[in-house]
Amino acid sequence: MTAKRTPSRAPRAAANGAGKVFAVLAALAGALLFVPVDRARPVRELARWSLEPGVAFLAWARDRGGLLYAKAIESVPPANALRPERAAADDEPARRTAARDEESLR
Amino acid sequence: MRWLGWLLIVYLMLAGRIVFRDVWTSFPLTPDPLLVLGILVILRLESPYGLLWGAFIGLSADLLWGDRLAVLMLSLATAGHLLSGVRDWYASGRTARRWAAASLLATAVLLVRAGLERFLGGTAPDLEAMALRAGFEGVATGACVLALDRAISWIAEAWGQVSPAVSSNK
Repeated sequence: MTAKRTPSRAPRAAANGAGKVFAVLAALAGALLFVPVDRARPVRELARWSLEPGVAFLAWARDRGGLLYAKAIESVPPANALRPERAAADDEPARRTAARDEESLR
Repeated sequence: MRWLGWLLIVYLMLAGRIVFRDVWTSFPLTPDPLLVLGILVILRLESPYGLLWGAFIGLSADLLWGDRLAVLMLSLATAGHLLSGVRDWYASGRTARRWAAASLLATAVLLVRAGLERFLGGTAPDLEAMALRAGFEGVATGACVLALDRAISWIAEAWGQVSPAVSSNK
């Protein structure tokens, strides 16, 4: 009886590779955990400085998007604009109230 | 070219966290965008590269904003390696299974991170509160992972359609 061969060795090899990568990453992270943040201040400043173009671009995109949105909202006519009779009906209570206030003032 | 695309996504996420900080912090239990991206790369990329990208994202986030270096890096690497089996769930086409895989991994990462912060801070861990918070935030993070994955797939498909036309015009 012949021994069966494993179907593929690729997954095992990949797992071994991942294990080695994980070991290196865990050792590096474990060492970095005990480094005080103050000692990494120059690197932090450098990282923030390198993010500046991206921040400026996204802030511009956000402001531009806000402006376009505001312009699009302004260009939409109010719901009553297309129906004058409905607009007049909507304004009627306010008109009556104003007239009553004027009368009471007299 | 593919790695350049991921690098651009990471860069924009890091910058976006600064620009849209008010949006992220205005809701309770809002997922951290970098955690979402870290989990997505672990689940989506091949085995060692996903871990490497996740660790890079975690280190970048801790370097920029963390009280300690490499907490998120170690959390992502540990949970991503120990729960590497969920990548098979995520590779299946079913949305619920993908969401469960992403949520499970996110919860594990959040638990490891909270445990590490408590351990390094010298305080006793409140396991029940930690688990509850990690669970809720993990499920929300899993949903965001799926949404981001879909968005990146759409962009990649659109680029795949545009790119041959651009190259043929040259």
